[in-house]
Amino acid sequence: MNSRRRHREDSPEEPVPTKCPRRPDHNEVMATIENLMIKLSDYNIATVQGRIEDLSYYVTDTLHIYKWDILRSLVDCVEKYPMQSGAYATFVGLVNVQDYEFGSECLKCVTQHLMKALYEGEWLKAQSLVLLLADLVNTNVLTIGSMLQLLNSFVDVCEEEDASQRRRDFYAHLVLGSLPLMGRELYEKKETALQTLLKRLKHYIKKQRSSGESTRLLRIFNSCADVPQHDYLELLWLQIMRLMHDKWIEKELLRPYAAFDSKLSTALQHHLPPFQPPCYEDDSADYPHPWIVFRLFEVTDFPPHMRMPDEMDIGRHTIEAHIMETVRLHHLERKICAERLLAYCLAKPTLPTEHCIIEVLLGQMLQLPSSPLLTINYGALVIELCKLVPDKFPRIVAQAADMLYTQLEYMNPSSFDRFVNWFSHHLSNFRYQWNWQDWENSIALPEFHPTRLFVRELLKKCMRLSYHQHIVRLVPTSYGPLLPPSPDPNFKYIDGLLPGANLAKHLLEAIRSKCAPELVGGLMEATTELNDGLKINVLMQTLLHLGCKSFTHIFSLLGKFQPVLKVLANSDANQLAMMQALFEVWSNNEHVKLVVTDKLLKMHIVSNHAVVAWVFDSSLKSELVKMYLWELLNLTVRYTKYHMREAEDNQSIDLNALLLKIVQTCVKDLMDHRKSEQSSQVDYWFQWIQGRLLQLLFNYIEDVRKISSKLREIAFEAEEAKSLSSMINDYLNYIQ
Amino acid sequence: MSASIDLSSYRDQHFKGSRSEQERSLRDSSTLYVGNLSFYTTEEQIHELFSRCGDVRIIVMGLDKYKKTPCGFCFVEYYTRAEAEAAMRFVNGTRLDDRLIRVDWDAGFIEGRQYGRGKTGGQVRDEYRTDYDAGRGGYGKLLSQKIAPNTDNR
Repeated sequence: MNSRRRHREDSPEEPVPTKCPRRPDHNEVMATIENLMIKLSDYNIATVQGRIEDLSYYVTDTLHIYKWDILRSLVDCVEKYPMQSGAYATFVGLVNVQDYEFGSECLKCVTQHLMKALYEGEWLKAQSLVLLLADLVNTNVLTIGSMLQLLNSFVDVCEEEDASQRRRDFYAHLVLGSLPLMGRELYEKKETALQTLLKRLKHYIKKQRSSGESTRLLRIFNSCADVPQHDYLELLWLQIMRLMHDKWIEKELLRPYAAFDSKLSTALQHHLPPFQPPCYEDDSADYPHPWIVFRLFEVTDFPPHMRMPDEMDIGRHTIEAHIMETVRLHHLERKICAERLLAYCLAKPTLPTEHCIIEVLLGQMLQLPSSPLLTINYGALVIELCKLVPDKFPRIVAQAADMLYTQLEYMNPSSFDRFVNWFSHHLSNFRYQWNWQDWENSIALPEFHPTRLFVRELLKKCMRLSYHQHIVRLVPTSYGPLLPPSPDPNFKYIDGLLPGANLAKHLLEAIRSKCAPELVGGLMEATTELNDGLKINVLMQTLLHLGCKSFTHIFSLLGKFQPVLKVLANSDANQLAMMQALFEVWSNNEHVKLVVTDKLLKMHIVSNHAVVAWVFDSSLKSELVKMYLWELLNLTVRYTKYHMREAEDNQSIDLNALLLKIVQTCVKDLMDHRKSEQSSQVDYWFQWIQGRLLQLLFNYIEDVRKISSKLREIAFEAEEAKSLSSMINDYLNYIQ
Repeated sequence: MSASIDLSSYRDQHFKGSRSEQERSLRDSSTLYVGNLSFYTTEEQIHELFSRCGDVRIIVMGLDKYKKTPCGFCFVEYYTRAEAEAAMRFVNGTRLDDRLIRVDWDAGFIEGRQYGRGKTGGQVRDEYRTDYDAGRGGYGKLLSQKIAPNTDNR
């Protein structure tokens, strides 16, 4: 113990002259390393070399103590930012020049993590690490022979005839994804081996793999659409073939190692420790599902002075991967996300990167079976981009919306709903300014034609976000037939001559004078000359009429008279009667119908099964093509799944029973319709309902899986409606 | 760089409890305060927009204490915190009824908190502001009095 130092500590008032610089503590060093490591991911071509050098110098000093922390930080960063593997590999390469051990430890660490990721089903992480290994070849850390060996061991999996297609697809994708990075290197140094590798892959992808079945249902547009829709692996294969044709010269990846070539080539390379991918046992690992690559813009859609790689160009793949990485990491912070996307645009000024961004965002938003993020998340990002670059993004978004509009006839209902929701919200942030006259052609279309329905649903959503008069003033007068009616209530018992009007009058007086609920209950019981159904209609209509000012008013009345309503709701028929009364009073206002039915459900006045029965009631057949009834159905399922606590009976709480009932009722309605409608014209109603059923099945895959066998029976019984039964069977195959 | 779901600097002066208790409530809350609404924005419009982020449990309109009419704010409560966070991320700073609205955490609705705390019954900010805002009664209350004194604003 230094007695002099202790003396100084006893008298803190005296300034302590520093003779030696304070040694930085562990946390400070780690923070600096992590900070510099994360900074390597910035897509800034001007500064990337400096940042890599900074980190490599800092690390060289601290290597012996912090080696494992550095490696852990490296793996974490590469996992998050796989598209920046070039920067990270360059860093490793520079350190490897000075410190051979480090290079060796790094490879060991990466392969260990890779193995673990493959075992534990962390697919994105595994892909990221393979990209890093590919770039470690480029930075002279890893021998090309070792990497080839690794890639070949992946292709071995593609040749496992008994393995699931998803497993084999995953490993094929792993290999193909690394080729843009190191294809050139392989071509220059191991061309024959490269050709053999490709030949093996080709055999799997072209001969053994069947892509049609598993992705048929995932197409946003059906096959008649004018939009290319490729299975992801097939497209990547075609892009790699084109890259091969172009002598493996890839232009869009950031390759910071090029500037350090002379230094890096002085290093000694390493071999990879032996590696074998986890064995195929049974289908217990949940390999990624296939997907369709979304395309909206063709080469001719871009400004003439900007070259955009066409969809067969690997550059398109690279750019999209970068955009998707940025969205995946920063989607929760829309300002940061928009700034980072903008930085990428600025780094590629000769490319219409803005178009690509919109294409990626909308593609994810519309994707099947479901979108990774909320529709409003994409909407908020798009709005932010429009704010940041007002002379570019708004125009591109408008172009995209127009293009989607032209393909509406072929669009599946799930994506359709999201398009309506997104676009209405988007417009509401820009004063609904739009070339409405461009869409006038929808007026002349058949009533249930998707394009016509789209405009009607869009106007309804715009109205919900604003108000009726506003929308009427907004659109050309020719839009008359498309406009929603004024969303006002209709209380029929104003007409004193109607049966039940007398009871209505008494109820109005009683409730207006703030009577106790028991009084109303008494009035209802005492009215013996009307049947239950009519009495219920009168009471409901009266309550709704009194509460017509706002949701709060309605809820307050329903709450006050809940005991009375509960007693009356003692049968399915009575519950249906209540909902029917609601739909009568508010026939012009879908929003109220939706919200109040949901409220009745949550107040346990109507059951979830009753709501399902009502939605599919024959009186609502023509309403069933509209969005709001399916919003109601999905609300009911979500309520059953997440919020039901006490229920009348165990059946209500059973989500599987509810889902089964929905499927059975829907299929029955479809089959009945098929029997009665025999015209040769396009059956839009059938297409809508069938598509909406698929949407529901896609929304609850985990839960529907539990009733798979029942669904298979239903598909069998629906054999007569070929499209329906094959849709259900395709779905069952997809979710396996 | 602050995250979009961070607490703002606003603390409710009428909150019954300590500062740290309030902050704890705010960090757990699924209730949001929504401000800068037009007086004419309806509960239905608010419900439509906020439903895009999740299932809304209840909306409580902010009312003028004397007139009992909407005075430009409301509370939106979701069933879960995650849904409320989505609203903080994707709705705060965007438009409703063509106005940029502010969404902030609220410790939870208690009866009485739906009323404006300004002297003339609306929100405090409408007492003192000097701009003309057609959606919020024109000029601020104090300024309105100067322009047209002895006008009964109640």
